[in-house]
Amino acid sequence: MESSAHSTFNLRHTANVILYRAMAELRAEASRTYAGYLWWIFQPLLMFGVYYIAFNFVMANRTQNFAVFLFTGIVLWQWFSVSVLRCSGSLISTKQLMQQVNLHKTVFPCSIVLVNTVKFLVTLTILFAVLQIYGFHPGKAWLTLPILFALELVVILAFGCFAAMVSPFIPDFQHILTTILHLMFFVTGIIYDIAIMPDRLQRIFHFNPLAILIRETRAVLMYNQMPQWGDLIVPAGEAAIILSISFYFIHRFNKIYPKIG
Amino acid sequence: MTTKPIVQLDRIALGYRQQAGLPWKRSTYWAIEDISFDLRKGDTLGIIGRNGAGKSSLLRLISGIINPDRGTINRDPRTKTTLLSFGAGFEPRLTGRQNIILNGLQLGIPKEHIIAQIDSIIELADIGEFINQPVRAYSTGMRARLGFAIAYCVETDILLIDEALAAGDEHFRAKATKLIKEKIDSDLTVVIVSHSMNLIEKTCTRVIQVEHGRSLEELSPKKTIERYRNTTRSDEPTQRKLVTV
Repeated sequence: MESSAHSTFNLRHTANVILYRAMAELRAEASRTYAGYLWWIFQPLLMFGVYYIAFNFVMANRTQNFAVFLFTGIVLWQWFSVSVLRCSGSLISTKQLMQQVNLHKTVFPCSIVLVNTVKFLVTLTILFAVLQIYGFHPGKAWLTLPILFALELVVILAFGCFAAMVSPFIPDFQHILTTILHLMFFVTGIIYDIAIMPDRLQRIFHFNPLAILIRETRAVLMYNQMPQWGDLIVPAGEAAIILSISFYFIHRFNKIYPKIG
Repeated sequence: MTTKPIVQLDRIALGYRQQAGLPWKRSTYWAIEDISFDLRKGDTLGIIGRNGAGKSSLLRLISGIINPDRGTINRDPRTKTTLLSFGAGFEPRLTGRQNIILNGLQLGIPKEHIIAQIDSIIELADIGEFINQPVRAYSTGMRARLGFAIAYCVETDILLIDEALAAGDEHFRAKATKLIKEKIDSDLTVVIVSHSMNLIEKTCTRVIQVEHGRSLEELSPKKTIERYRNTTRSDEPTQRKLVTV
């Protein structure tokens, strides 16, 4: 095979490009509105405000902490869904740039995931504050949170890269993806606890990496329960497989993407 | 001059697939049909041809951004090639200063290198206070100045320039031409795509004419430019075909 052009893949440089692209995107996004960076705080706060009103006034008397339950789920879900959706267009919208500079194409989805991870971390502080106010205080199990977040990050990266890899070849995929994500929202146990499902269905849920992750993270945050590590093996395995496949193909099609899209 | 070629293009062809109504029907636009030439170390090669002749695609192929569909490109794997992009990767909402780092990194310049040279880049761009303004406030000429200044500090073996000097005012163009000439006089290998026969004539040691995605026989620079002038005079539009499969 023709040795892949010049730039021998330099990991440190690639990391710098991802990092700086993400910083640029965050800065640019903040400069788009008057309130700028404050929106990272306002947006989740307003979101919680909506749930608070909905479940304490409009549909009162449901489980006391439903607003918190929902908010926890949504925060974890949004990190995933927004990242994946944005990733799906990452090798299409950057066509012009791809035709000018010789970048490894994994840079694009990776920097998008990084952008959304930073926003997630900001949102997390709001979530922690809400949990405090509702009396869900940190306990020993909270020490496992970095592991759970890291795992979700890998899941997001896997699905994000997969979406990025496919959509330039099938432009319609972005429309399909919206539907898939919409469906996923309802089978991931965000607005309900998957534990209430019959056993037969629960077994299927075990193949949805995000469902397991959100269930476990929520158990840690709200009930200070240690994660059931055994249940996390499947999500981790799935994410690793999807991520490897996606990286492999993006690498293989590295010089095809600038031609299409 | 029998130095070993650093890039060898052998009968390359490049097609862009285009959607043709139905998903299983694809048409292919052959931007390049048959191009061959050698690029030797120290060459300053001008590529001329009418709009749509395949010049920009050719630069993308030489730079290794894309691969040809047919034919081969042989390149020494240690050769570093840079396509001079004139602010293609600029993020309009970031300042010029921030864009220098972003653009530089994307061009493959190591971060320490950019930071060490940022002052000389700003000086070369010579756009005054605008350097701390978002790039979207820039005029086309200012963008070109900044883009050129960044690309100028890339350390590379082959520099590919696409109509680069088209933007910018007379003063800047003269300055940029002079700097590029300096680079040419060193050991650098340069490929220039331009419609300015004046520039090609002044700077290039070799000239290749591309018509309808095919390279014509290589003559002396002077004769090639003459032949090109004759083809453009004939005023026949560039006719390219879409092959529907």
